[in-house]
Amino acid sequence: MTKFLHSRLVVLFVTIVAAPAIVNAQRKPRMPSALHSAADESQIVAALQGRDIDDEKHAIMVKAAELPPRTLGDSTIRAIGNEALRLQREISAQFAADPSSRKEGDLDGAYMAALVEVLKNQKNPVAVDALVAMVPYFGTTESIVEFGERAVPALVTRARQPEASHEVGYVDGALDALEQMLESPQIRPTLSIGSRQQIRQVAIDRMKDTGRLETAASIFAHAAYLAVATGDPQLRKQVADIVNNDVELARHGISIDRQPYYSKVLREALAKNFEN
Amino acid sequence: MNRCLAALGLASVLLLRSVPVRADYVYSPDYWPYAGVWVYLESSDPSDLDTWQAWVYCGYGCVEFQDASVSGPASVWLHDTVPHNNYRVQPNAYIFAQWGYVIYNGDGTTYQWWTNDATVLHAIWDCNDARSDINQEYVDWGVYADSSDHYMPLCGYGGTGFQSGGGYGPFPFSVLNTGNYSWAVIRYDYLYGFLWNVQNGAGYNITIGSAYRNPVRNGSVGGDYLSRHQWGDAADFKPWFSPAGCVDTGNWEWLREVASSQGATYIEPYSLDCTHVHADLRGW
Repeated sequence: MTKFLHSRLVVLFVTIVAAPAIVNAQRKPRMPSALHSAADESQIVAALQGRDIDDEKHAIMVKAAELPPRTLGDSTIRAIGNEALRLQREISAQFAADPSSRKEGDLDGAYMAALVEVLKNQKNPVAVDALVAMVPYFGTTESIVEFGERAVPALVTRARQPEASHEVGYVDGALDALEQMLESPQIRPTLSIGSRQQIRQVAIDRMKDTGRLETAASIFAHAAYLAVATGDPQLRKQVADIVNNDVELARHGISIDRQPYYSKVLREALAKNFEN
Repeated sequence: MNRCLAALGLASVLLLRSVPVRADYVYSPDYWPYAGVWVYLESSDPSDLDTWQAWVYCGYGCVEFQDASVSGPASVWLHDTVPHNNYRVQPNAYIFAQWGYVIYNGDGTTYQWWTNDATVLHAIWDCNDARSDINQEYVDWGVYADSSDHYMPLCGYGGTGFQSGGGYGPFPFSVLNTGNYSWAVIRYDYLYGFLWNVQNGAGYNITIGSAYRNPVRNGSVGGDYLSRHQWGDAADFKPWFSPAGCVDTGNWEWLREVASSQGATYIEPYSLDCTHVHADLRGW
């Protein structure tokens, strides 16, 4: 009888306790519990402590990105920005040492993207430097353009920085964001004379210094587009002369197969009416 | 041995008592344009449920249901409905696995329960084919609609919903369905055209490494658990001539440039994974 009872209880235990556990194990990864509720600032600050990253921290930042704009304090935004920049440096260093070590879905990359999402949605100018460092990735361009004047110095600095061999698109992104500011009827009139001068100068400089060969074409094209957007008649003429000259395009690093694309883009720029 | 058996039995009983509440998310054409959250209370002791209150907090895109107070039998449903509002309440919206109830015992004491443990989330609708299984994966894996895009799969076919074929040119369904099923969620209205334009703009053929992934597939390839590949508006691509490993920076930048000009709203940097360009159309 005892033996019978024993076997019944074991079956009961396996059915009730062990089986659900096995089912759950097959459902990994489970939803981190932080996704169950809205993030609050103290939770976000706590998550930013320490360098270890786990699913819970990631989930807290995913939820934090759903908070309405300007609901987090400046110090929290600054801490999120610093953490995003730290991760960017760390990932960049890992990649430089061994490109194959980085894979889509790595938690630190996903966490960095979540941090950037928080910064984008908070619309706090304290985040400008961190967001500029991410442009044009993670959909940051639109966010940074909205900052207008406040973001110009950081964007100009970024556009002047040389890119390491494994960095791609950052100079283009900064030039593009500046161009979108000039193209925006809301933002253009708010830009100071000083900012406009800085933008004009970086366009001139980047048309001359297009960096390494592999990405020279796109940097030149973005700089030329920006030059047109400044409304400066001299720069406009300079770009127009290049666009209509295949040899000149090639001299600026634009290979024959890509000339149709870039010519079209720059012709579109020239067709626009940029007020001076 | 007997003590051990007794402990085992007690553990089983406690476990049985620890799962008396179930929350189901209900979505079906019968309820259109409403979706409802149902809380189902069960107890081995009917007197437990003489008077009780229950709270259910829902995730983004879900209904809120709280402070309901109902007297009922041992098993009872609490039911609330909200307007569906253009997919804002998603069939797979994540209901917070956080619920609680208070039972008011006859002697004036209360028994409270509040937990973060996973509630059974059950999608009660059936597409009569693999789409039901795919939908259930979203529930099981906790993939929920985010605040920037309310799109989630439905039983519907075409448009922004499920596909089982179609596409055109170099990007037929068979290329963009990189999931485990014969059905896939592909944003037919955007993704095909986008990739077509990227290829034309680039001036050479592109190879699609990954487009739609159902949640299980996404997990098995190490994708972020909220990866846009599960929404069918993301693609990983590279030049057809690129060997395995990193795409060279010149071609990678070229594809990024073209993808951006064709409306990609989100591109991941080269240093996150250099074997392809990840571009998606979130927010469209």
